Parts: sequence; structure tokens; C-alpha cells
Amino acid sequence: MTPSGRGILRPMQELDGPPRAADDPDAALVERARRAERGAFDALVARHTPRVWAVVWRIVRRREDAEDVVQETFLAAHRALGGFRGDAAFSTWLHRIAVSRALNHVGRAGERAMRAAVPLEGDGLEGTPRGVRAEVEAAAAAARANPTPLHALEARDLMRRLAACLDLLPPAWRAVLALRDVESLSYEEIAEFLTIALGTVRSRLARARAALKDCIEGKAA
Amino acid sequence: MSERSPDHPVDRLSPYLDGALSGEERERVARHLETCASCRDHLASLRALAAALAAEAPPPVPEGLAARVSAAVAGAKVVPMRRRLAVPVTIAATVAAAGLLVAYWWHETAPTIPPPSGLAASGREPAASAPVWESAGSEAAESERAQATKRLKSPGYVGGTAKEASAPPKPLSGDVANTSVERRALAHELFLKKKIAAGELRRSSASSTAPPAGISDEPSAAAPLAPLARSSASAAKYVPAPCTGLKKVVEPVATWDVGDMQVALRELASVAAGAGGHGDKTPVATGQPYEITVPKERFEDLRKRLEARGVANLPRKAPAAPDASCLLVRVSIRVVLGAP
Repeated sequence: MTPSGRGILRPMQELDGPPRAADDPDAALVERARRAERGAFDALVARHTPRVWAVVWRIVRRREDAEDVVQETFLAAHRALGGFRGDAAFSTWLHRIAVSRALNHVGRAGERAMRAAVPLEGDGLEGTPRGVRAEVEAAAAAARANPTPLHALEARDLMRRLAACLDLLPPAWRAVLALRDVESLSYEEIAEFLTIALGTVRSRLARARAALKDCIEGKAA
Repeated sequence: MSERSPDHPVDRLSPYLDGALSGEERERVARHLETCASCRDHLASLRALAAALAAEAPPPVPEGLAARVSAAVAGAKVVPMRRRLAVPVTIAATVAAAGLLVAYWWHETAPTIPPPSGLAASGREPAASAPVWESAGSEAAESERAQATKRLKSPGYVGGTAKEASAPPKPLSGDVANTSVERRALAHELFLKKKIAAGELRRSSASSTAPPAGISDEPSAAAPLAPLARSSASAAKYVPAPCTGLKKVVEPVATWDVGDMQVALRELASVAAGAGGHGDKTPVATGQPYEITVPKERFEDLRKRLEARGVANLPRKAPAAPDASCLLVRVSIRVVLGAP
């Protein structure tokens, strides 16, 4: 496990309690939803849509696709609710569905990257979805034209370059970055989430960060 | 790429940042950092990157998204059968509103039969075996759904504009198709409920009350269907499946050993379509089954198709499911080396 509560992180555990089934704040609603009580699942949807949206968007990064995936996520959760045993917190379970659906949605690009066959020495962008927006390419080009070490960039410039470069990354890499740096999951949790080996989490994160850093610094597109 | 000399533990800086190195490795990196400005810079960049990632705010949740999701879930009506039956019949009878029964009936019989006659605004006693509609909601939920339908009808969402109709076709996925069916089902349900509430849907006029253009469930109404589909291509390819009604889960879960998951998924989607049903795009997670929804009467056909492909542990016959118009067949896919 990694230390939680570091300043740069926004641990999801701190937002609505640790993901333990025993004191799952959703337990009562989930039970009511499982009994098909009216409004119960709607309440779960209302409660969890913001977080599901956030994690899905971070992987998909296209608004309309993200909307579809959020919907698919809750439909899948609703279908599978009967099989939800409460081993994990509902929010964790739902999150896992969301990440899985998001990666499915981005399709073969995601699948290829999931197999982590992308060499570190390559441009790191194999499997990038086609149709990357023109402004993204322009921003990446601007970054290339003005190489700057990432930690020396002005905050606004950094965020602009970050957005452009994230759009270019393979979705599976965006997923590990989101789970680690935004959701603050441990390597073990990410491995379980994505059903990949612990070593793969470590190497994929290192690759994703290296590719992203290089892209932002204008060293590679 | 950054310099990656064996002297600089660049690849270990990422796990170092996360505190994911073993004690000894961590010590070594820490010692190196004390003397190497370049690696300290690299680490500072990684730290800034992590901070920037955490600080990057996603766009705000689209307005009404939760309501649309709830509406889609209500439209899907796929409460696991055992849950539905576990609820006492008395509650079932109370909860199932007359309007919903009409909508249910419509879904069960559409597209070939017009709405039933004899169902006035007051409704009639729900049958003892009436399914529980988790969508039979409170007033708040009701208005939320009405709002959602409004959005569904808006050109921006369903793609009813000329611009969207001429948009490049998006590959049709099972999920997209499901979603549009669900949207249609929901929209129609609300339409019927509104009619009932307004007292318009009565014995004499029921069969002649056509749903408004754009939310018809009738497959013959090609024009009204088109705006609901994501693209003209999906409208042309997708034949509206009548499986928007209740589903009965078929036991047991079949198993299929395959060499390639992606090939297997494509194959199952094509089998499902061949049998007049549709499939989930992929399992939700590893170990979860692929789900195929078929009209009850097509089960045998589906079973034969699956059997021909070497799917094992198939259910022998369709379960008796008087309430359900569709069956949910599950196939657990196992990737095995050397399998076809």
C-alpha cells in the first residue's frame, strides 16, 4: 500500500469513506435497490454520477462518449446488482465497472495498449485513437516547438500541454494515471481493478508518466 | 525520451514517487538522488505531473445526465428475475401502476399488435403475477424522467437534425443499439402514461392512438426510427428487437473455451444477431459472462448456433417464463491456449 493523504493527491477514500463493505455508506440503498424498491437505484445513480463521470471522462476524454459510458456503466450495474455480494464497497464495484466499460468503449486502441506491448523506446503513442482533434495536435506541436522541463512550466501552460498530451495517450495508460494520481489507488488496488499483474501496473505507470512527461516537455509527440 | 543510463535509476523514479519500491531499492534511489541533480529534476517533473493530473478537473457533469441514466435504467427493466419474483405479490400489485401495465403490455406485444382496448384511465386490477416495475417512481422521479424524455427528444441528444443524419456513420455496437431501444421504450412508456393521465387512451381510441413520430416502436415506421438511431448506418442495420420487455435469466451459464477473446466476442455478437437477438459488447469484467438476449421463441435457434460453435454446458431448453418475452442466455468465455 502507498501512504495516503499526500498533498498532491485527492484520495477517493477520503471523499466518502474507506472502500470497505462493512461500513459502506451505500449499503442500505443497495439493499433497497436489490429489492427493486422504487427510487433506490435512482438515488444511487444521483449519488455516484459525478464520480463515475469523472473517472470515465479521464479515460475516454470525449464528452459524448463519456456520457454513453456512464449510462452503460449504470445499466450494467443495474443488471448485475443481483450478483453484487458486498465484498467490496458499492462505489468500488461501480468504479470497476466504469473503468472496464470505458476501456471497452475506446475499443481496439485500448485493447492493444492493455496488452502493454508498446515499447518504451517507441513514440509511446501506438494505439492512439484516430481522429485526434486538430487543436490537440496544434498544442502538442507548440510544446515541441518550445521544449521546457515540465517542472519549470507555468501552471497554465502545463495544464494546457497536459490536456493535449493526455488526449494523445493510449486510453489504458490514461486509466492507470487516473487510478493512481487522481483516485490514489495503490498499485495492488490498480492491479485488481484492471486485472493485470502488479509488475505491469508499475511498468505501465512508469511508461505512461515517461511518455506524458516527454510529450509535455516537447521531446516527443 | 529521457536519458536512461544504468547510472540513473530513471525508470525507478515513478515507483519511488509512489512509495512502491522495496526498502533496499528505495534506499539506493534515495542515495542516488542526493548526488544527482538530473534525477532530482526528473523526480520534480514527475511530482509536478502527478499534481497536475490530480488538479485537472474533468468538464462538469452534463446537465441532466443522472436523470437520463435513471431513465435508461427504468427503460431497460432488467431486474434479475429472481429478485422480481421474491417481492411479495401484494407489493407488486400496489406498485405496478395502470399506465405502466399498459406500457408493459405494449412492449410485450409490440410491434405487431395495436394497444389493448378496454384500458381506461382508471386501469384494471393488475394480474397477480404482475412484474414489479422498479421504475414506478415518486413524483420527483416522474418529473425527472419527463425532463429526460424532453432531452431525449431534443435533436442534440437523439440526433434528429439533418446535420446529424448526414454525419459519418459510427460503427454499430450492441450497446448503442440497446440504448436506442431503451430510449424508445422509455419515450413510448411516457407517451402512453401521458395519454392515460389525460384520459385520451380509452377503449374506442386506444388502437388508433399512434405514438408521436420519433418515438414509435413499430419497425415498419422507418422514418420515425431513423432520428433515434445514432446514424443512418445504424438505422439501416439495426432491426428493432422486441426484447425490451421482461427477461428471464436462463440457467446454467454456458461455457466456451476459445483461443482469442476478441474473436470470440465478435462471434457471439454475430450468433446473437443471427438468432434475432442481441449481445452485450463485452463482459463487464473478466470471469463475467457474455449475455445474449433473444426473443423466447428464438431460444432453440440460438442454442443450436451456440452448440455448433462448441459452446458447452448449454441450457437444454427454455425455462417456463410466462412473464418474460425474452431470455437472457449467458456464456462464460475462457481463453485457453491452443483452443480454436
